[in-house]
Amino acid sequence: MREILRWLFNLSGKELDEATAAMSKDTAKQRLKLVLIQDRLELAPEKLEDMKKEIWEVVSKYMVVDDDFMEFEVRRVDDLTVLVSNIEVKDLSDLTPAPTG
Amino acid sequence: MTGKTIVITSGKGGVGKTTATANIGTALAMRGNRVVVVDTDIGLRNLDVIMGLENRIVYDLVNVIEGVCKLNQAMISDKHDYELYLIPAAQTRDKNSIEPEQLREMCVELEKEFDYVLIDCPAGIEQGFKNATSAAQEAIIVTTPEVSAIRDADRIIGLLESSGLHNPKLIINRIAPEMVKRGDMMDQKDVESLLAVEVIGLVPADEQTVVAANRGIPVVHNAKSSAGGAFMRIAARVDGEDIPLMDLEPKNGLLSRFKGMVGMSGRAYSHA
Repeated sequence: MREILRWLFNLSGKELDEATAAMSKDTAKQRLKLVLIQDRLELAPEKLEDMKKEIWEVVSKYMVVDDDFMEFEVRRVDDLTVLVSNIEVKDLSDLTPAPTG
Repeated sequence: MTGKTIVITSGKGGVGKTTATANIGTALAMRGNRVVVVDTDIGLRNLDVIMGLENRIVYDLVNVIEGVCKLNQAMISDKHDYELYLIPAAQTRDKNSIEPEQLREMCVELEKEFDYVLIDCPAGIEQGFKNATSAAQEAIIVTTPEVSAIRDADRIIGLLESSGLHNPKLIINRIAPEMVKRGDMMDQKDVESLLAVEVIGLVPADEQTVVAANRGIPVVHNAKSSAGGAFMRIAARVDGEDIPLMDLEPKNGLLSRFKGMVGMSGRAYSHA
């Protein structure tokens, strides 16, 4: 098949590789998506702070967690931008089912 | 009369802010509006040369702000039969020579006399950007379909938002239809999906834009040029006309030539 394409379009091997490779605009889009996520988060540190507070509030509804210790950051792992949070749990008792009757 | 002040900005330099300002300003004036364009790129003025008015400068923006001259003394009339004026930037001062409130006050004065006050914003996000944007009620962002320009445009959108300038409009400049067609350049949809702002115009890369700059005659004067047509359409939209954006199609592509031969849509370089 490849040979037929080459013959048909009179392409060198390199040209054929380029023609069948992913379109460069898709690479651009993919890279920009990630960069923009990071830029936008950096742009609004107060928003990041608000989110941190709200997440802490939600978690503390279900378990007793440390007031101070909370790691919270946006990090890039390979192709993904991830939100990493570590919260120290003090007491899990709220998670045990309430006794019935 | 109460006109409005629109800032034309981009973040990244060299994407066509000044060209856009000159052409939208000229086109708005051709449509019968009273228009003044203000170059706020203090120290790096260029709107005067793009409009071909560089030999007629006596006073500049900083002179007005400092009270050295009256506002109308710094306004250079474009040499055509419509109402278009330029207030040039100072070339020998820096961007800290004026304060945002001072520019705002000047624009309030101008809005009493003009339908449109267009501000050509300097590149960057420092003092000059703050000056230019604080004076405006609306913003137009110019970008090209390239990663660096789009990234900077996104940052500008965020900064405009936090300074209270909501719903900026986007111009995608220097689109090469051939490259878009073969997937080597982002198209309108790609850019829209990344930036989430309304596109007000698509301007094709056009040699005539360079020719126009060489001559100091904005490309909207060349009615047949694709870029000139695109800027006319942008001005119509700024002026409140609801006209659709069009697809930019390659001019002499094999396919469009073929379509032309068999009587299909052989539209050459339709522009938005």
